[in-house]
Amino acid sequence: MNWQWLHRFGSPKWFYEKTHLWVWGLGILACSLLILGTVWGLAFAPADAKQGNSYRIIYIHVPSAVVSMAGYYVMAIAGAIGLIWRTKLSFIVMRSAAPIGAFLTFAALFTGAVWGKPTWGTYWVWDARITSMLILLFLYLGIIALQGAFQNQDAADRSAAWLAIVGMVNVPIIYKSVEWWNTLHQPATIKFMQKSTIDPSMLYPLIIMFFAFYLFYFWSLLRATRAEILRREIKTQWVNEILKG
Amino acid sequence: MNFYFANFNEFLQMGTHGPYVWSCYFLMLAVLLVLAFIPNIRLQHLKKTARSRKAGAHSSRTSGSDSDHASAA
Repeated sequence: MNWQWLHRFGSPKWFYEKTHLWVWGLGILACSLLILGTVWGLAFAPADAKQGNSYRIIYIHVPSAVVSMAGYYVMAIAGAIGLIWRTKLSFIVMRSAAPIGAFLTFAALFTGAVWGKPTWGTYWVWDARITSMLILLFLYLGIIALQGAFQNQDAADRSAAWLAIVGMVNVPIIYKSVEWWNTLHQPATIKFMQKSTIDPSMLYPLIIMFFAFYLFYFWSLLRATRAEILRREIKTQWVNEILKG
Repeated sequence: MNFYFANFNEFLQMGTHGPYVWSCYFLMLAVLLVLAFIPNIRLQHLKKTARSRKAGAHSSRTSGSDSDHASAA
């Protein structure tokens, strides 16, 4: 099989040049949807019959948690591609994805803890869902630390990629934890195969926020990747031309 | 679709849940802003690095040519 297309796509210079317009498009779309979903969720959606207004945290907590898990797959798959096909760009994407994922996981844990206080009467319990999310944060931090622990860039990339791949096992555990164990955390309210247990008036802004967070994730990943490309290729003529401008 | 709350004050208070809801939204805003601005900060840092590299290369070239003149003299 001819893998030349993959290597062309894996060229940092090619990627940097082709993604310029994507940055603007994704940024504008993500910001618009974030504003729309936030205003709708905070001010126009009705209060929950049991949880009152504290449930409005759902509009940032659930999307950030879901995107932090999906982002882990993005990072690990990029690492795996880098290990198999040795494409420079894959390792750059993997490195750029780690801090974004860490920030979003931290935000999901924080908002979940604050939501837990009025809902369950406690900020924190060591149940399966919350503990596995904390492990996800440690995995992200471990990958960031591993990237900085080596002088040799190639060794740093390869070891971080292996850790990312091994850590993938945690993501399905997070997802299934509320079914496999007795947890304080509520089960999923949005179901793809069955009817969702959330009222449509509350669901629509949540769907908007899902799209907004995914778009924001890819926007910030794109920008972080472009900055990392410039850092790694700083000795090349084309990067110097860009940095001069 | 109508504004759910009776007035803006009630909106801020969110019943008794205002501090919980607003602290989460402010933290999320801070996280999103940090993620949005980190690449800009890195770019500024890279520009500075590129400038200092260029200045370093220029000064070494200049001192190199000075020493060439001195040895020629």
